[in-house]
Amino acid sequence: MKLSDLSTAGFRDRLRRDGVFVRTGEFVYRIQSQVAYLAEPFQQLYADFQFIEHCEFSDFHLEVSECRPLSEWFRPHVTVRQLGHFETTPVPVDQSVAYLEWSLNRCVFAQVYNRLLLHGAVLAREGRAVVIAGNSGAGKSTLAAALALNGWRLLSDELTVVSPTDGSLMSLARPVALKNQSIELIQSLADDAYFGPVAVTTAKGRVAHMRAPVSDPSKIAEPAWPACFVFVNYQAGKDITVQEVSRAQAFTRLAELAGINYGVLGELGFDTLSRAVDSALCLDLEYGSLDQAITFFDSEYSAILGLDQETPAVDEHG
Amino acid sequence: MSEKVQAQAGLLWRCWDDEFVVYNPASGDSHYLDYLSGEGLKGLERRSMTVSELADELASSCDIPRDGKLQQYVEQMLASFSDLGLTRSARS
Repeated sequence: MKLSDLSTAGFRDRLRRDGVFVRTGEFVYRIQSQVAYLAEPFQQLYADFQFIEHCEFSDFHLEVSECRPLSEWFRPHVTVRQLGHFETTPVPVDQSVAYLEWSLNRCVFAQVYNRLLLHGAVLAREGRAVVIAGNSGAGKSTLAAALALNGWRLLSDELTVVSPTDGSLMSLARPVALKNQSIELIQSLADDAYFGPVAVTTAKGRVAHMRAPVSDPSKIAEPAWPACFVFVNYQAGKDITVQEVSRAQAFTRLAELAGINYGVLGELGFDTLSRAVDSALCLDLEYGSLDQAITFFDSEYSAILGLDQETPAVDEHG
Repeated sequence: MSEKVQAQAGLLWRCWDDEFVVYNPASGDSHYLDYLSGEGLKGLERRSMTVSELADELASSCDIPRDGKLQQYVEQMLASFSDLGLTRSARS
């Protein structure tokens, strides 16, 4: 049974009482809220996730609560609170989805120390993953959304979670956060995709979340193994260029620019990142249009993922 | 500089295609090193050396001319290693 199988009223009621449990990879979130506005988009964004009746233990317990700051008495606001950890400042209720999603990320950023966390989107084909890294504004989430709409399985649009034991990348498969012009750009590629409400005045501009496309719900939680690290850079109007990056340089960039908890993990971080990079192809990709990038990934995916070198262990596309 | 220096203890290494990444547990930092710098620091892990001794060793092991340019390169390299906390004086 999936979350979409619950009626809207039933979902809202669960959210209000015991909370809704969402499992992404190995993390279980428990989310409670009295905020009626949140229920419908939240259910839609997580429609393909497994319904969990009750879970004795959750890794992260969050509450979205309505509040009325004195200065905004007539305009409902909400805060997102992780019990015992943090509470956001009040934001207008139409930003509740965006702030809940950021808070779900914040839980992982701030409290996961037994995995290596990198900033980067993860997409996979046939059990092998490409990690899309890059500076803020480089187009990671936009590219990840476009590829997810083009047959790639989305593991995460923002967080690369590497297991130190087997080097696998955890599937989080949560909604994709799109900002500003990327919202309309991705909407134009996906007639049937679900987009949550557009939060207009967030600190990052306009923000909307797209439900992660899922072609096979039974594989939503499957990990994948890193085959390629791509450092992307979007430069409007530029021709696409692809250049191989040495593994040592890729390692250093990932540790310095993308490593969220690399410094905290010490030797474990070094070993885990080494293993991830060890047999991966590392590329610099500059592109001037989304079409160029999609064409590149689709035409070169066998080479990028090393599928032409050996028989894949897992076949996601039959 | 005639002082002998040696590498910090416990450095962790990865080498890919003649380039190195070294992790320094004392600082928690990791550093990219090109081939010559990597070989230099590895040499200082094996034994403490002065600038001249290390230049001699690199010239021999990497098959490069032992000239003033190499001497200058090694001096700069050791200054960088010291700044990054990758080496220490052999007296300490």
